[in-house]
Amino acid sequence: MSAAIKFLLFLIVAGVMPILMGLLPMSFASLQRRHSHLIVVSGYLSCFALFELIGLPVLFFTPMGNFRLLVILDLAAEIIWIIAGLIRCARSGGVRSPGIVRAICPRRLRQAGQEAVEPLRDEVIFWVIFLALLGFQLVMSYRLASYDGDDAYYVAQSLQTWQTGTMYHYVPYTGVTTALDGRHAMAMMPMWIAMVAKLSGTHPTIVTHSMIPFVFLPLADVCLYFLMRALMYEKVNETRNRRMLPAFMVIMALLQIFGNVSIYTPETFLMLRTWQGKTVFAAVIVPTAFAALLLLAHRIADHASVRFPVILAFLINAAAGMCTSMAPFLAGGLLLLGGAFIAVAFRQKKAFLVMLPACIPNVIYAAILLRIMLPTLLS
Amino acid sequence: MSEILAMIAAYEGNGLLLVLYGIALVFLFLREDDKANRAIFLYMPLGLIVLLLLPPVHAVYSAIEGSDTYYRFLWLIPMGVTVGYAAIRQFTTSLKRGVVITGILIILCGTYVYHNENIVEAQNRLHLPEEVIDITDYILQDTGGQRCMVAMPAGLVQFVRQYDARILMPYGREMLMPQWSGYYHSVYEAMSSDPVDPEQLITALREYNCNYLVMAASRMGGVDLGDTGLIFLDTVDGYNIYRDPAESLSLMD
Repeated sequence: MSAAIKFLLFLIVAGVMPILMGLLPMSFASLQRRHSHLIVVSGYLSCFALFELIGLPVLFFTPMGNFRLLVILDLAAEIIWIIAGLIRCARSGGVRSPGIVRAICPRRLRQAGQEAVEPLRDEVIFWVIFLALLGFQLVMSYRLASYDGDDAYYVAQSLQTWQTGTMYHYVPYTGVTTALDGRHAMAMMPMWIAMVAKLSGTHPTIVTHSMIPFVFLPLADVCLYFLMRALMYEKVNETRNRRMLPAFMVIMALLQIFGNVSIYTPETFLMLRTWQGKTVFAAVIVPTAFAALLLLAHRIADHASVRFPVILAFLINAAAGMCTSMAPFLAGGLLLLGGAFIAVAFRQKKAFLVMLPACIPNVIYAAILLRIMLPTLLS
Repeated sequence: MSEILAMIAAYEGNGLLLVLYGIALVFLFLREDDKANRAIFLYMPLGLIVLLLLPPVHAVYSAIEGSDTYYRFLWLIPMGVTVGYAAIRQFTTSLKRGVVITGILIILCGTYVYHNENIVEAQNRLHLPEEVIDITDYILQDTGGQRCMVAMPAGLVQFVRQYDARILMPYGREMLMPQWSGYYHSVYEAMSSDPVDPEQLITALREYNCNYLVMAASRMGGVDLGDTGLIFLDTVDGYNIYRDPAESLSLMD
């Protein structure tokens, strides 16, 4: 199989399919709010949440962690999820056209009864600068190698799984067999990468280092875009404010490139360890959690339905488990704390109460983790 | 508390981006009129900072996860986004000038990520050192693709099993991690000793059933491994590869 076909398969498995998975959660939002960036964000969250949901039982209840079974089950579940989303969206009016489509062919959209956008000169300039900066980041991620010691764990786990069909039963540093390290194994991002590698017929280390940035870097930017739109809320539709979004994206892209003030910042992780679960936590989960909280606050203020922000919060909490073993607690804590602040600010208990069911995945995760860690904590 | 402050200092480096964040927070306090944005981007982060500074929170986190990752708590505070949002709000009427000024401030206060010491020009799509690939390929060709135990130099251990999981190693990256600095491994000790002691080396290698030994050729000048029974195979990319005929590959299956 040629490298181009492998890359195409990679884009389908790690790009197109996760995005299409966003149709199902978006079908619960009104047609006016079915924006393309929300489809992308909720799609990846659904993808990670589903993988974690299927992956943990396979990991714990099959001998040596049957990776082949996980791939089959997850692929089937993804396809069912996508079909369900397509059907639900088609029956309820479809989705909104992406902003760029509305800007390029306004007449056709008006004929179709959709809102068209006349692009502003400054807006176009800022978008071009931002896309140039993103392009620069992508080229650098391919041309430069970032030697990170933690890859000896994460990437070796993906490769071990890819080569042996087992999950987390070998010490990645040395390759000797070991008992399942359940706590670290619960963060299944390396297994997702191994699955992407398997389905695209590519060495997992190539997928990790040379391909994943082409998906995760734009994904991180879509999350920031979502967050900025949530900050601007209704003001985002005012013509004079439309320039603010791409201007913000330019500033964020510069921060990503120049935010390496230490090895610990989220910007450093995003640029140098793009493929690691903790990066997904810092660059995807946290910004999306803030955006979900802002949506919740604005909906509470408007006395509107809070169903979509709650669904989003649920997906955030479920997807956080893929990142690190602490991520579900940090994400859940953040969402609960945010709910409490909104409840106080708007004097509505509802803001906090609706966050409680969204934390069900965290409770399940905590119960499993406690079961695993209890012997260690007691000894 | 001092441990927490030291962590924040290490996290923020020169501290200038922290100053920008402080300015952005003051701006939000004075100018942000949206109640939701104030609650989530002003009051909640301040609450998180207070939580972060509380020693009991640090103690609980450290007990579960270890204090070395406590910095991830800071990821919950949206510093970059707050700076970006405040800048855009401040310069709403002259956005181009605002982006230029903020961009210059970020460039001056920050550090260019691609100058990081861990970044090198990629030699291949795997983003692994070429010598790791050449050495591994050589050994696996010698074994006919069978799994084998290979003692690798410390500088290569973190990469080898990212290329091929059929290579097992007596020690790995754990020997290089500061938190395990007291860890002892006889093969690591024998390979690190200067000059190399052939007797100590072969004893350690056989203790771990090593089929192969890889040593930097520069370290083997004047060292004769002839009496140990190891067979010199070749020099690949500056590394000598030896095979121990006394160790069976079948032990690795």
